[in-house]
Amino acid sequence: MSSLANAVPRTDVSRRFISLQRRQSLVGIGFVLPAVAFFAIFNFYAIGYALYLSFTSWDLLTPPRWIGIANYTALLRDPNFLSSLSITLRYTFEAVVPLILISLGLALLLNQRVRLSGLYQVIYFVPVVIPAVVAAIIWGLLFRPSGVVNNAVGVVGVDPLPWLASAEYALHAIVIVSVWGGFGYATLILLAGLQSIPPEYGEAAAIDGASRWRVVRDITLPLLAPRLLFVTATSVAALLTSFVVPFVMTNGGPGTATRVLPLLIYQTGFQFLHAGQASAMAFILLLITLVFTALQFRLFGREVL
Amino acid sequence: MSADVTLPAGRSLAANRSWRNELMTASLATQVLLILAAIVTVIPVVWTVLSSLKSNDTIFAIPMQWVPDALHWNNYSEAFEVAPFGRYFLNSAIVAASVTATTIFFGAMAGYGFSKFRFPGRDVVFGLILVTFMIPFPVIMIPLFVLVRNFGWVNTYWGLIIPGALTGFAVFMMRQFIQAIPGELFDAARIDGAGEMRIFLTMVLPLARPALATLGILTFLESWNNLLWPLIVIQSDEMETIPLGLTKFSTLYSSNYAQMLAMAVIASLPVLVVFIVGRRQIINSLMLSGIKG
Repeated sequence: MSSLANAVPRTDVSRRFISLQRRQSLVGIGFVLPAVAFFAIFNFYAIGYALYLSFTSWDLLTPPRWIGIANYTALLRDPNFLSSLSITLRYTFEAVVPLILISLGLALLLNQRVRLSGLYQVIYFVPVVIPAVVAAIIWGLLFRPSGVVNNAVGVVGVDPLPWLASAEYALHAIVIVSVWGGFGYATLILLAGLQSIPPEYGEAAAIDGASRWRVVRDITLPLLAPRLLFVTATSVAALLTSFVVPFVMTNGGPGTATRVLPLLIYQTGFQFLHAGQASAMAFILLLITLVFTALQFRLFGREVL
Repeated sequence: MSADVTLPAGRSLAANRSWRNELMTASLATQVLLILAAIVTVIPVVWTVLSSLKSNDTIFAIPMQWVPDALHWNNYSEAFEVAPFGRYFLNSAIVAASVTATTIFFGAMAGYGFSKFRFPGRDVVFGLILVTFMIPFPVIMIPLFVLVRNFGWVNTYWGLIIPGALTGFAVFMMRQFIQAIPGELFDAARIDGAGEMRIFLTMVLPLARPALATLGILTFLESWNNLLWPLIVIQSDEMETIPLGLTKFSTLYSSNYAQMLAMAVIASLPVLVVFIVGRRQIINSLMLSGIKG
């Protein structure tokens, strides 16, 4: 093998080395170039274009017309937008709280020495991999007046509920489907976090007389904080932007009771062809997701990061 | 409990074990709760499979019946006649396979480039790719549609595949994995005169196989399940993917419950098979994804 240093005259070694370095950095750029081009077009150009469109009036056909911040000022007085915004926030909050509590509870239970723990993990994860469209269609039938859900609540003595027919219950129904479809993911991430905590901590505290509840509250939960924050942040982001279940199961109804913001953006942009206004809504949605993420990290994440 | 110190070793071990038992061993209540959760989780799935084999008018019979009186397999064959589900299935398979292939290939290329080479602006560009994690799809769907329309890809496989051909997560995951492979391996091959593309194809890709498999599984699941993008970019029946075709079917034939459920089963089969085969990889990758920093 001809080593580079021997192959060239000594005085050229450093120059040769520099050119080798330059060559290698060009090779590196070559490897990342397809990806960089992709993200430049389909993410950064796209988001810049969305921002531009949000200042225009556009029907997707004739050239866009610049109207400044008129879309944004109109949205702040638009009852459709404001109602979708409040539905989205209510739905997100109503779903994320049980989602995290159920997942945390199941993860704590699975972290004990449980027979068939692997089987439970697989079962809980099945709804996560089932297509959201399938989940929405199945649950749409389960929530029928004489469907499985009303049969189940009948067992505990509750009269049949008007799940998808009433504005109030339709949102609850969507929350239930979202929790069903998402808790398996959160449970597994939290369980992984619990398994990385050395059991000796809890044992030591127990020997010193701490109750099981105190061990969980004062040792387990603080050590689990990074994972809790992670699943809460990803769940909130997913819920704020969720589209499939409200679209397929209720199509935003009854009336506009479950017309979440992503659904309103879709309808405004592609059905009513108000692409400018839809883009302004999309930017407000982006802002909300960023604020929520930042807020969670601020509130819970200072010592986590 | 200073007395513990003077206890014989055996005694303190026994005490320790009993603490461990109390803390770690699942009680009956734990088992009951876990089983209850599992039952609630699978009931919709079990009901779907059973109901896909019932006759249409017994699905909402009062009182409810769980088990079909006879196995009506014809729900499946009839659904394939009412709508071109075979074609939907093929479209979904083509799109999901293509998206998976491009994602792991270009993800691995970029992951290799970002982890094993130095070049100006590397870390800034990688940071920008991480920023794409934060962009919700509804925010960019209108510009993406306009782009695809300008390229002439509306209602084509290109239109379905290209905008989803890579994700920031793929680049991130491959970079993390390839970073842990010692770079000396590649330097040795370089000294032996191997070309850069050959090193990537014959060394980096095989060494990164576990990460490629996991990324491939996750990408396939996500692509197969996607509804919103096909809904935007597809305009004719024969180009629909299975989530889109199933959604249309459920509104057009909203009382063909049995056929709807039969196709719900068909639509879920590939992802369930992939999940069962790749469950180890999926679960392991979740364990990693929760780690911050």
